[in-house]
Amino acid sequence: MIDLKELSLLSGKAAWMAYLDIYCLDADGALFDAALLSAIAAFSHLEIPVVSLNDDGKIVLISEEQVTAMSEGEPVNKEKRKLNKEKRKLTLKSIPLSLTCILHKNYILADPTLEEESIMETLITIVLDSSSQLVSLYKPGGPVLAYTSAIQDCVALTRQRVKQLQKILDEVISGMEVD
Amino acid sequence: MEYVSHDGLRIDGRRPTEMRQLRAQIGNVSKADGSAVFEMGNTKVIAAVYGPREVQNKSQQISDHALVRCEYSMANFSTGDRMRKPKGDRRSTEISLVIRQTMEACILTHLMPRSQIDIFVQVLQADGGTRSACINAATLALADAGIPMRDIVTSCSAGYLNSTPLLDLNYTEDSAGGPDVTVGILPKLDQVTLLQMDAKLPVDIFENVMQLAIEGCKAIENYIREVLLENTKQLEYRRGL
Repeated sequence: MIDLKELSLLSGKAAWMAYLDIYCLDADGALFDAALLSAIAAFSHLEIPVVSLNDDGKIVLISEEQVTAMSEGEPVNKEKRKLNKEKRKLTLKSIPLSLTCILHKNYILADPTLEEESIMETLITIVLDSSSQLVSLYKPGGPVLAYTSAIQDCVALTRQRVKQLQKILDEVISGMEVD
Repeated sequence: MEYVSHDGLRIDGRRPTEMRQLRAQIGNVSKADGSAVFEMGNTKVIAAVYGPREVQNKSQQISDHALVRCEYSMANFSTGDRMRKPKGDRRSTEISLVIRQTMEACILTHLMPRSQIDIFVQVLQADGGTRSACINAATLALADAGIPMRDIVTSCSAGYLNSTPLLDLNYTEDSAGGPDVTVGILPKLDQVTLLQMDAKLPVDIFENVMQLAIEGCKAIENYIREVLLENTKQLEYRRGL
């Protein structure tokens, strides 16, 4: 989803390190799906700040006032060289979205709650990207063995889910840009 | 650096005796017996209470009153620079102890012998006054859990910079190196349960600063009571009363 080259500052010398911390505040089943969605939303919101290289070879953060002063052509400090003009966002390609399903006898239960997860032992998590290509399929054992048809049903459910989630993400991101 | 301008405005535009905006919600964590989110300006904390329930470690069981445990931790992303060790460091251990003792003073523990009450507080955004926000959130969470208390506990901090007592310090003002007085009170009983200060202050100025913090606590008390009343009304509507 992310092109790591976008995190580079000076080839061979400096690059950004991105930390992703996911905290679960209230757990009610299908934590992986929620965590993945929140991670993607966080990366969509990420804005890389403006930095410059000073003569010691250190990278320093430029404050908002200095950014406008520099772009208006008044040199704040001649030695400082800006490495990027303005705050930028990452370009996210092929965003992965997922759906967890529980298999019970010959039933498929999509998006289980904590109560359902606690009594069922077989789950399957499918991750598809925005062009419906398979990114990951996870079925960690369990007493119910899945026929190919069951897996195909799960993939179809995931495809529907991805469309819903994509819509919600797009709404939120465009709402954010208006601000 | 100037923390109070000539017109008497602080760096975030507040007056010296003005608190930051308060926001609270109850019942966010559905699995907990009681929970609350409390915000003071940019500082945001979430508290969850479990109990009274059976003591997990039988050796710690007390025969005539309840055991109160508290854990304070900060999210990695809560501070400006990413925190490496969210709990288990000295500051977190100290604040856990402080919150536990503060809440223990107001919970009617003798009504729940041989049981355990767990209070978990997590700081999501830290901008000064996290200790106070945690105590206020814990009070709301305990009320949401229906745990019997003597009174609610509210807490607020105050400091002294540029010769002015300032109410509810944010992170920048707190890092200025001036004194930081944190007060926790039981408002209806008019009793102080927590009083902490770092740095030095002459006694007469200290009295003013402490009084200012107590005023802040009383303002928070009004807000908390409003929130609890609104929550009770919602519960009544849902029950069809």
